[in-house]
Amino acid sequence: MKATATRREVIAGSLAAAGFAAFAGPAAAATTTTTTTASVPSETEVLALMLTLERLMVLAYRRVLASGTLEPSVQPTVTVQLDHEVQHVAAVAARLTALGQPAPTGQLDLASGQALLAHNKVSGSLTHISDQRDALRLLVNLESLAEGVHYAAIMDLSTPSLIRLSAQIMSCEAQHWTVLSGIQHPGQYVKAVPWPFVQGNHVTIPGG
Amino acid sequence: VVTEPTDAEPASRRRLLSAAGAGLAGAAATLLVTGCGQAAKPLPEQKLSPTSPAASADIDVLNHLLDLEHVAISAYTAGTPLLVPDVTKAGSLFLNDELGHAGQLIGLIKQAGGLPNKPAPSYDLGHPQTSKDVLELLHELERQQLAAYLEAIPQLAPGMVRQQVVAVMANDAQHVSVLRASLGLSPVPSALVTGRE
Repeated sequence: MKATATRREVIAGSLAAAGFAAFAGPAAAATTTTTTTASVPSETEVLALMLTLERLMVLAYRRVLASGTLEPSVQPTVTVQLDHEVQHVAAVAARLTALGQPAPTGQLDLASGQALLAHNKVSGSLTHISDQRDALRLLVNLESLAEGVHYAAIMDLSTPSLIRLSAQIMSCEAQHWTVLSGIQHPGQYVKAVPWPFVQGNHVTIPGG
Repeated sequence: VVTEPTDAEPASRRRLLSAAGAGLAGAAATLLVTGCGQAAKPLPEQKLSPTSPAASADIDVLNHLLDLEHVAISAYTAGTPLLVPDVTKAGSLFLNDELGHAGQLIGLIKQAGGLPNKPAPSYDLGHPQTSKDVLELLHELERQQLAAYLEAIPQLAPGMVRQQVVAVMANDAQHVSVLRASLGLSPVPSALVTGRE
């Protein structure tokens, strides 16, 4: 049966897939989605999705560093960017906690991470990282996803301080994207900064 | 002034911008000679996807951002020829981006019923002599832009307008990373971009 989901349902479904039943609520019952309508998700739902993606980023950066595939010259850069992701988790979690919501701050578990990758058609694996090229491609793709989550959040959030936080994190993720792509394509600025407007990739609902 | 990129996929979308940007580049170049008394050409409006217009109260905010884009365009136009060959292509690329940003803001201002600010006849950009001087100038101007965008975005409505503006801010943040790396600085100095780092 074909169904139309609201943005609220899309977010709730994504959270449910990531094991966040507490955030999913009744909207997670939505089945297949093909389009979205204008129903605006709550700020806690938006923040919860942001937190999920940031925890996925922490997981992915740690998996990449643990894979042993990075050249010694690249490891410090990736380590710095992991630290940024950890700070993003802490910042978003603090806002959720202030709103009285549960806010886990550990990295996402591997199964949920793999599921989110699959649902969002991210090429690359968290468990099979064979070389530096694989590792960087995975991180670039995930940075696109993180950009997309914040790009969407900017529209749905209404509290100025939350909008500001999301813009700050999105800009940082865009910088990460540029650094990683720059490592992949040394000296090719058009590959490191390919578009005048950064939008990232949209997060899709699991099973949609 | 604007170098056509050669890489296939990114360049294909960039060329779309360049088509609009060709006229914009001419307008930017005009900034350099308007000090001699010529009038600056207006920047053409960027093609926008359908969206709700910005609130009329936001016109001043958007025009402030446009003013900063005009300054950046003049700086990239004047400064890029002074850059060492390794980063000249980045300067040209980023000039093209800034032209796109200005066009985007002009479109948003017009959609809200406002009148976009025109470039000033000239800008005092100091007297950069070397490639490093230019990179430092561009870095400073991009930082000012980031700070201004960050202040402006929470004030804007509706959300779709915020989205279009944050897409510009994130691109400017990418410029900052490349400029910082070219200056031998950490390309991503902070987990939360403020424009002060």
